[in-house]
Formats: sequence, structure tokens, C-alpha cells
Amino acid sequence: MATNRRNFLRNTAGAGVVASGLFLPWRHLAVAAEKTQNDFDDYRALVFLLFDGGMDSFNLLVPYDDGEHERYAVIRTDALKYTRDQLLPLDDSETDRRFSVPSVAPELRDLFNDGDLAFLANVGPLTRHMNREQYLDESLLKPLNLESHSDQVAQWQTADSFKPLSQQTVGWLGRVSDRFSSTLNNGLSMQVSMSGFNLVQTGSSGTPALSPTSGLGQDAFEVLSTTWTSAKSSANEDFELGRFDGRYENLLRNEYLKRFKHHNSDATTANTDFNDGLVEFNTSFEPEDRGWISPFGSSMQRIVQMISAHQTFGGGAKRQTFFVNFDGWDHHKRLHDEFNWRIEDASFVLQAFRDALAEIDMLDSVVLFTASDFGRTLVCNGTGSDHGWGGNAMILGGPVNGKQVLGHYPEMDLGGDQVSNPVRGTFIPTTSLEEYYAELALWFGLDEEDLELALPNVSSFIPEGASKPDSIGILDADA
Amino acid sequence: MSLIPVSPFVHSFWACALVLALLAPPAEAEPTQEELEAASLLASRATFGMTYDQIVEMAEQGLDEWLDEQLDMECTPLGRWEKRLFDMYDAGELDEFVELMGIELDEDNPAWDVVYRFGPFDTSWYMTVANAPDQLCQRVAWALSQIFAAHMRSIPNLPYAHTSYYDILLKHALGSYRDLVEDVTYSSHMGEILGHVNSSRSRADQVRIPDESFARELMQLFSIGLVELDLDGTPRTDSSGEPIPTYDRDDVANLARVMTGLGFGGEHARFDNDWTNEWNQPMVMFNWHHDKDEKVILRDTVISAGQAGETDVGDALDAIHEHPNVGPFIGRQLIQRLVTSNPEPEYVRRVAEAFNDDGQGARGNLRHVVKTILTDPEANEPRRPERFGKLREPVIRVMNLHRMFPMELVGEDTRGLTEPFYAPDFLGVGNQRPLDAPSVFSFYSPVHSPKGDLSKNGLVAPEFQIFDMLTSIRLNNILWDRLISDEMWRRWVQSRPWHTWFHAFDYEDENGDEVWWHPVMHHDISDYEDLSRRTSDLVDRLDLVMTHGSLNSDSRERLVERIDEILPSGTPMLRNRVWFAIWYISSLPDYIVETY
Repeated sequence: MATNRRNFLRNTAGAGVVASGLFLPWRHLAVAAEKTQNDFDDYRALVFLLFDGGMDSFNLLVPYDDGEHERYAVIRTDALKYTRDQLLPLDDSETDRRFSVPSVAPELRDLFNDGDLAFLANVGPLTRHMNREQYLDESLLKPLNLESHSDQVAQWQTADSFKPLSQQTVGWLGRVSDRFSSTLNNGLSMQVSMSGFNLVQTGSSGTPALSPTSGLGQDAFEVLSTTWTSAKSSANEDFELGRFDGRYENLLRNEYLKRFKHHNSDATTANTDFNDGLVEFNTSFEPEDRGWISPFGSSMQRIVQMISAHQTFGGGAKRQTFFVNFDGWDHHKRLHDEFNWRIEDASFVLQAFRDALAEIDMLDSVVLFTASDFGRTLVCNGTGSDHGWGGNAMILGGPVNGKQVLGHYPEMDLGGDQVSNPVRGTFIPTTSLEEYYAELALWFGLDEEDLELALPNVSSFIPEGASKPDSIGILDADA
Repeated sequence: MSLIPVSPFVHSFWACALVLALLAPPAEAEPTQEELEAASLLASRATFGMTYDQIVEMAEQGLDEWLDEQLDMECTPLGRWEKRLFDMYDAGELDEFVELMGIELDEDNPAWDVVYRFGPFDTSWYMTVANAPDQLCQRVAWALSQIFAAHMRSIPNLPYAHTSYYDILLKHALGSYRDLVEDVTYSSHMGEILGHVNSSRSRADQVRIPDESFARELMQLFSIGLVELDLDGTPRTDSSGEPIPTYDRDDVANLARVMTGLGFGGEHARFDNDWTNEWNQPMVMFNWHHDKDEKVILRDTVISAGQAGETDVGDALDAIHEHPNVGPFIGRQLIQRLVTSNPEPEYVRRVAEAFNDDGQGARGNLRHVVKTILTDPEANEPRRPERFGKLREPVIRVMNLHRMFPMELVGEDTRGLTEPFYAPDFLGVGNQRPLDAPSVFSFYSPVHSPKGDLSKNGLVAPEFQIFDMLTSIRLNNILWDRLISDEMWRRWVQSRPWHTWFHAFDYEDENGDEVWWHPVMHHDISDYEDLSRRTSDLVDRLDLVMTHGSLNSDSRERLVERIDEILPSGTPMLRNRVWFAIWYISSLPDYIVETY
């Protein structure tokens, strides 16, 4: 036994690292980056806000015209519907239909009316544009495992609807960042996560995203504590200086060592950079009548702080992405109660986010956009709704062409051509993730010829003779 | 009963042990170092941690016997501890706590008001796991709680609301998978989390559809997974090389129809009750709301028309239980939770075979599955050691500390407590708290492959998904704060009456204020104080307890140097040397990544 084991070790050592065939398909993506942070003159940030669990977004953006609201109310029944007096109509001067948001979310109405917020209706994973007839045609490929949480929330992050979960290893922001060499000038990641590991920011380089805590000063990013004794400082050094590197044959042990060391040294650097550049602002993320900041609020407050420190962070950042996960939207039961307090929180915090960015004069450099596993069934299953497909997203920021409901909000008619399941009331998306994300990626600085590297199936949505998908109109033309 | 102390665990010593068994009288001999290490290795997988004395006992008993004893042991339900909280309240043992809290109790239900403030689930979980003799059952239930990952977040805080779900997992952890799935299906807790409580047949007079969430996750997560598997866990492919889905959209819809008609049970059982006060009562079938038409599930299993709801559910669970995927799908995940992240296909196959037949012809015998996982040759002498093992879970790291070095009461003033008692508030600091995963997809994905050398080698390492820049450092810091010095308790207690209760005040200052206190309990490391006079003895002992004698020689050398920076002068410094060594090892790859 022992002899075999030694032979085996020798053999693998001789062969070097053997790449598994499973991962070959994306290896071509790990080509040298063509841009670095310093190739950009201005600062831009993309904020990916995930509503984890599958938000019932047909109760976020609700038809308000008499007849259409009535059709909505009949389908959703008393259990799920908002009555008209539970809704706040949006400024309809630039939309051809009248829409509304729940009355617990007046800030969303204000953001919309101010021109800083747009909705994108009925967006979701697609392999190609399809109507009901094509959807029913078994010979046409559909996104893999529709309605499955884990698959759909992955596809929203990878923009790749053909791969099973086990092969979903790279996110679309990760791929974009790979093109910009993914690290800042002093080696910190250009990706910042408020919610730990996520797929959307994972690139081919494997640089872990940061997870800031809520503190300030030396506690902004947690580093190894150095209290009590010199022995502790020496111990920290053992890890920081990599004293154990190369001492282990086990791949998991080496991965642990590498990450632990990087986590601590990155946090140390990040603390200094962050505190050097931090700009104070007065906008409060704490509702006056509540007296405490929600977890989502403190995440978004921290993102504004990070953006304010971009000139020192990482030795000077020109491009950053942020990830935040606001979870708990899988409302199979008690939709009204569960949805209301969350959307009330989201609404307040998003306005504070806008106001704080405006206060530090960074609003024109930031685009926040939302994602969620799927829209939900219009039809009720008791007191909640079930897994659907297309849903409604929000895009917020200075460059956003606000006061618009973009895409194609479906007719409230279960017999419609975009309905995938007339019994349950689910919609085939009319806008693909590729179209949604392409516009954001190009604003972020990705070259048109690189679109396919970030969005593997984008060619299915590029009209013949064109070099990119038709613009949805999310961003101001001159942004 | 075998007289050979360690048969399947230390293969290299088989021959030697056999000779010894023939020559020497049994049971009298002290366990050898190898036997102790084998016992410690088994403890790292089958328990939440063992003290040195317990490891010695395991070795003396013989690991076969120890394992069989564990497999046969009655599992301690968490509800027993929750009940004890009520009993403590009734006996007046919590009076001082109530006074310190300065709270006005809910007049209608003061007992629950007090018990609730303890975090009845966390306290019951911690106290049970820290003390129960049935460690293997507790460890397997913890693994199952990550597969059948119901969470507490949307369940009201009512007596036994959360412990009763976990007790289902404990009840069947070493029993029948089929019984486990049935109890989970009827659990009020699961009904609420995945929404099949009050799920009704479609009706002409209502716009309402059966909820599909439970039906979907029952297949995707709790039993068969998304694609067909060979017995060794490898996905099967069709003629064009594509994986074969185990079910389609219609199967989900039809299984959801099978699950219609369940409502909250208990005293006020009624369909469409949106609320229950009796979370420990299973859901009951209301046949009028059940869809009695014929349903086809799992591609071709027909659930006949006209049957009672319970019969439909039973037939469907039978069909799922018989699906060839269950063995490899569930077996692989249990291996990942207990032994290694990347089990060899033949290991998965042997475990799947154990699931399919326990040797007595029974399918789904988890006792046999667990025994096979722990005694498999691959678990104890892996074919490819460089890819073997797993990152120790944060909750296991915390519990290791509390079980390897158990809490004891200190001082005379123990606030009326007769035994160490509390739930550590840092239990969830590593992004992992029992029954508190963010969703039914649990804390991490079984296929999570960290980018870098692991993904390049096609390896998964699920626990790395929550090992991020924040949690990895924070857990290290908190273990340090808690371990190194009683002084550090100060940080945890200031302005928190909850913690103040766990501290006794020693004297009053000139203003009559109590100004100094000591914790009511701390980790018992008295056995190590003497040992720590000689650094190598201390390291030897901790190496055995924490890393089953597998400490790398370089790490060991460095550790000895570091400990020697603290001079062994007087009891406090001897204790500090011990704490320092424990903390240091708890950050080493040798401990963090368990191998063999």
C-alpha cells in the first residue's frame, strides 16, 4: 500500500498539474487581459443587487390603468393582489402605460420620477427569443432546469443558460474583470462582495472577493488580532509570511494556507486604503422612525463608503464591481407580509444610496442593477406564489435613463403569446440576460468585440450585421 | 466480539495486532500510540470532539465495539433540553437571571418569555451536542440538517417549534431513510418552509394551484438530484453524451399534486389554518383538498386515481426511495460531511451498495450506510492522499473546542448553576449556525469548486464557500479572544445582562459598585497544565487530541518555538502556554483540513 502511494505521488508530481477535461471549455477565457485599471480616465462602478429566492416582481411593478389593474387583480386574487389604493402610480409622462409600486415603497416612486430609476420588464435567462409556440417545441433548447432555484440563480450570475450547476464556475462580472486584469494597482481585487462568495464576481484568476465588515477604522476589514503577547504576533507572522508554504502535499491544505494568508494581508491593505480615502457624508441609512439600520442598509452604506474611497483603495481604482445579496424572497406563503417589509426596507435604502452618492458627487459614476432567481407565478397557491421565469428588474444610478419601464411588460392575460404556463401564469422573458448585461458591460468599458468573452451566448441576441445586441435604452446615450 | 482492538481502522497493524492478541491477555494492555491515533481519527469524523481520556477509553474498548455501541445508542432529542429550560424556570433556577435582565415578563406566559431569551434552539443544540453520549447520532443528524436544510427564519418562536424539526433528524439519523423522508414530508416545519402546508388541489371555483416547492426540492435535494447517476455517483449520459434528467416539469407538477391536502395538525387541526401553536405535531391529510386524479411521477410511476391522500404520499415516497439515485446521491453527501470532499467513485459505490442492501435485504438503512462510510478502506488509507480530506466546518471547530476541552464551573458563586450551561453566542460566527442556513440549499453547494488549484484539478471543497476574507479571520480571532485569557471575557460581557449572568462579582468598590468578577465557567485544561512544563509533551498530547497524531514535522517545530516564547513560570503562564498551543494548532492546515 505504502509503496503504491509513494509511486502515485511521484507520478503526479512528474506530470505537473493535470487540468480536468471538465474545465477545458472555459480555459480559452484565461487569455492575457488587454486592459488595466489605468487605461481608464474616469471611475465607474457596477453594483449587482441580488434578491435571492425569486422576488415576486409582478407585485413590485404593477399595472395601474383601470382595466389592466382589474385583470391583474382577478388573476392574483385577494390573497396576492394590491388594490389600487395600496399602490402609488408612477409618473407616466414617458411610458405608454401607467404603472405603480406598492405604497410601502414611496422612495421607489420618487427615484423613478426623479429620473434615476428605470424598470426592465420581463427579463430572464433565454437561449434565444421565443414565443409560446416555440417554447412548446421540444426541439428548441431552453435554459437548463427552469424554475430550479440553484440553477436559475446561477444562470442570472453567469449569463450562461446551457451549463449544469456543476459547470457554472465563472460569473459574467468575473469574466468582464478578467479583461481588466481583475486586480487593482496594489493587488487588491477590483471585486468587492458584501455577502461573501458569489458566482457573478468569480473570474478565471481565482482572486477572492473582499467581504468588508460593518466597522470603521482598523475594524473596517477584519485582520488577525495582535493582542496580549509577542507569541501571537510571531504566530501571525508564521501565516502572513507563508512559513508553511510548500510544506504540504495535500491540495486542500495548500488552498487553505493560500487563502488564509491572502485574506489577512488583503484585509490589512484594505484597511489602510479605505481609511485614507474615506469621505464623510450625512445621508442616513437609518429610517427615522426605526432607530436601527437594516443589514441591507448597512451593506449599501458600506458600498457608498467604499466608492468614496476609490482614489486610495487598491492604490487607486478606476473600475470596481460590488455584490450584495438581499435574501429571503421565496414567498410561497404569506406573500403580502413577507414582501411588504422587505420592499419597504429596499425602497428606503435605495433612496439613501442614491442620496449619499449624490452627496459625495459620485452618482454619475455608479449603476446599480438587480437580479433574482426568477419571477413568480401570477396564480396563487394559497397565500403565496410559486417559481416562475421572467421577472422585473430595477436599474438605478446617474447614468440611468430613468422614468422608463423598459422591455415589454406582459399583458395581464394568461392566454397571451408570452405565457409559458397558462395554468400558473408564468412568462417567457422578452428580454434576455445577455441584452440586459451587454448594455451595462459596454458602459463599464468592455469592448464590443469582447462581449462574447463575458456573455458566452450573446451572439444569439445580436442582429445580423450588427456587433452588439439592440440597445434596450437602460443608459443615457451620452453616458 | 472481536478481541482485536482496532481491526478495520489500522490496516497496517492488522498482522501485528493479531499477533499481540494471540500472545498477550486482552484488555489489560495499554493502548499503543497507533491505536490512540486511530481512535482520535475516528473521533474527528464520528463525534464533535473527544477529550484525551475519552480517546483512551475508545482505544481500550476497541474501535469496532465503540462504533457498534454508538450505532446502537439511543439518540438524545434536543427537545429534552428545551424542556429542561422550562423545568429550570419552574424550579426557580433562572430567577437571578430574570432579575439581572430587568425585564417585565409576559404575564400570560412568563415561562416561555424567559426560556425564549435563552434562544431555546441554540441552547438545546449546544448543550445536547456538547454533552450527549450519542455523539455519532448527533454528528450524523448535523450532516442531515445540511441535506434536509429546513431553517428557522420564517417559523414563529414558539415552544418546540425548532427543536422538534431537528429531533426528526435525530430520530432517524441511524434509522431508516424512508422513515426519515416521511417524517420530513409531514413535518409542520418543512410544510411551512417549503410551502406544502395548505397546498390544495386545483379547483374550478378558485384561482389556485398546488405549491411545487416541496415536490421539487424533495427530488432535487433530499433524494435523487437532477441527473441520473451510476452507482458510483458518476452522471449517466445519453447517446449524445448529455446528462439524463431524473425528472421533468410535469413530474414536479404531478408530485406537487400528490402532496396536496396537508394542513397543520394538533388540537385545532383544520385545512387553511395559517397558524399553529403546535409545531411538534405533524401535518395531517385533509382528503377533500387532496387531488385524487391519477398522477404519473418519476417518468413512469403511476399513482392510481381515487386513493386516500396518505396512500398517495406513501406510494410516491416508496417510488422515490426505490430510485437508484438515492444511494449515490445521499451517500456521497454523507461521505462529504463525515470524511472527504472528493470521495473516489469506488468509495461512493460501496456506500451506495450499503444503502441499497444492508446485508439483511433492507434498503435505506442509514445505520449501515454510516458504518460503511466510517470503516471503508478508502476512508482510512486513501488511494490519492493529495486530494483527500475536507475543510473542517466552522460549527465543528467551535464544538471541537468545547468538547475536547469541556466547560466547568469555577469559583464558589455559580449563580445558582449546578453545571456549565449556556449557548456560545459565537456558534454562528463562521457563517454557519445550526438550522440557520440562508435557504434550503444550505450553507454551501456540494459541488462548489474553489477557483484556483482545486478547480484546475477538478476538485470540489464545499466548505470553502463560506471560508471568506471575513469569516476565516474572524473565527480565528474569536477563538483567540475566548481561549487565551479569562480577561478577554470582558469584551463579551460588557453591557450585556445575558453575559453578566455568567459572571460572579468578587467585591464592591468604594461606591458600592461591583467591579470585578470572574466567569462562572471556563474551559477545563487542568490536565494540560503540568504537561505544559515540557513543550514537547504538551504538543504530543494536543497533536493526539486535535490532529490524531498527524502534525506535520515543520509545523510542529515552529509550534514548539512559539510556545517556548512564553516562559513556563507559574500556573497562569502554564495555562497560557496551553491556550496558545490549542489556538495555534486550530489555525494550522493539519487541523483545519482533516485528512486521515
